[in-house]
Amino acid sequence: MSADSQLLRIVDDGDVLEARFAVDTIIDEACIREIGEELQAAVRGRDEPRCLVNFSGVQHLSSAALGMLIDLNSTVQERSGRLALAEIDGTIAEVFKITKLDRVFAIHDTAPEARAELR
Amino acid sequence: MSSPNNPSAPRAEFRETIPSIREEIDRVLEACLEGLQRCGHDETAEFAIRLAMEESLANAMNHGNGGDPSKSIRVEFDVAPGFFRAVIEDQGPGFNPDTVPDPTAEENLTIASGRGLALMKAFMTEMRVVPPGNRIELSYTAQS
Repeated sequence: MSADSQLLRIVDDGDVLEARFAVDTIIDEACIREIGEELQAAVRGRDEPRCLVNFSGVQHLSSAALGMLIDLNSTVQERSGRLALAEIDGTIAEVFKITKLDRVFAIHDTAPEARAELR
Repeated sequence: MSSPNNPSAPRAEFRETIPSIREEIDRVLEACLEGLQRCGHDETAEFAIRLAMEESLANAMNHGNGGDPSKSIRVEFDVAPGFFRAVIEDQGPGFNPDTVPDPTAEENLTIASGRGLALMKAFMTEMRVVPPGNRIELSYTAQS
């Protein structure tokens, strides 16, 4: 099953929810709000959600996007689920490192690695 | 790296007072990106400067001006090869950056907001909050 929007594609294989961005820039607050709402709706729809956010193709993001991911992580944890991030470009990885959010999120080099960890 | 004072080097500049709304911020960011590309900045510089400009303009709109679209933001930037500087000034009362909680402290890691200043500091060569705190000065010099 999959759900597409102009900003996000969410694929649910019944095991792991995988979200991929349809845009390469995640800085506009309205877009981030919309992405956050879509992700929140997806994880709220199941118990113990296992969610993978795939950053493949994403070249820019802002602190508002980090906030959206923190809120998503909180929701996933409240529902006893797990969230993983993967395919993060080098410069964006630096953003996670500077903010020490690499200690908050489970970050994997590749989507298959993240899926294997979530399963 | 070219000197910002070289008169024959490509340059870009922007000096406007814009309405405190998202569409205008997007226009500034587009002009900034265009200037960076015209002056030959690499992807690393583009990422850093775009991020710092986004964070400073969003802070000016949301915090400084309190989301009031009737207020305005003064924006200036200059781009030259290997060099960028900007000034962003809102109409708010300002803030003391020393009172902003450290977002990398253990107890703040799961708070959703408050990382903009830290990112500006990390990605710019210099970032200054000018008292009373409603004016941000950014500068970036490419490493040779």
